[in-house]
Amino acid sequence: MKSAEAAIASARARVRVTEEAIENTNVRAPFDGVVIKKRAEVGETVSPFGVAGQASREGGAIATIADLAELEVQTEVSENTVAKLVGAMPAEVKLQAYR
Amino acid sequence: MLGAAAAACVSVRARACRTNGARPRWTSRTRHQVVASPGGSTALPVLVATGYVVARHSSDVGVKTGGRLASLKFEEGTRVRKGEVIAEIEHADIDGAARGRAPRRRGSRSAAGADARAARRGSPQRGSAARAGEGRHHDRCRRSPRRKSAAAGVVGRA
Repeated sequence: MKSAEAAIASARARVRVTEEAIENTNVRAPFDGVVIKKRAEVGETVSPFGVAGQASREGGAIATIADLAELEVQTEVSENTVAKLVGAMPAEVKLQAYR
Repeated sequence: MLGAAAAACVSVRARACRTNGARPRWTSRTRHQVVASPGGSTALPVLVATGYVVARHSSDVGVKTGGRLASLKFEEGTRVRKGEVIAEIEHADIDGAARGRAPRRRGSRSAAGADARAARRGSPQRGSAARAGEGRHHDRCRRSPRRKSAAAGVVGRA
């Protein structure tokens, strides 16, 4: 009886392994967002570690997805003013494109 | 990228001062809030700079397994939802391997299940349990209809 139950467990495990292997061939979006960069095309061979010629930072990435619901402004601050800035200061951002 | 000019703003208190026509008063109590009072001759913004508006969360989405891309379901600018499949890698090989194993799996599962059920009912199911070796496994599953009826017989006898 133990052997038969083990056979069932083993068969179930094999089903899970196969299901997982198939699921791993799907690439899913990690969060709601917008594709801001497409880094691969249909027919290309991809690997989790990137391919020769690809920047190491991209490491096998096929797309860059950004969550545009939360934005931040990155700006450079001179040494003269950095001491005057503190947390939670109000600031106004003007976008040239949306005047 | 969008150019952005960041300019310092005023707090409620500073704004109130301006509407009164008085110069903004800087006190230690409100200093952390008041950045500057624009409009006044001495009230310059603390910082005026240009920069970039960027997404707080962005990620380079990669693949978990290597292979050839069978389909891509996005272009630049496509909105995607969490968990949505945005690309697929060819998996005909996995499908084929699974299909090759499927009859055997089904056979061995039903036979093993029958064995287990029979055993639970206390029947003397020594034979098929002993036959669960991997080599025999394959044979047994090929003959799964016969095996099933044998197992059913055992159940009936119990």
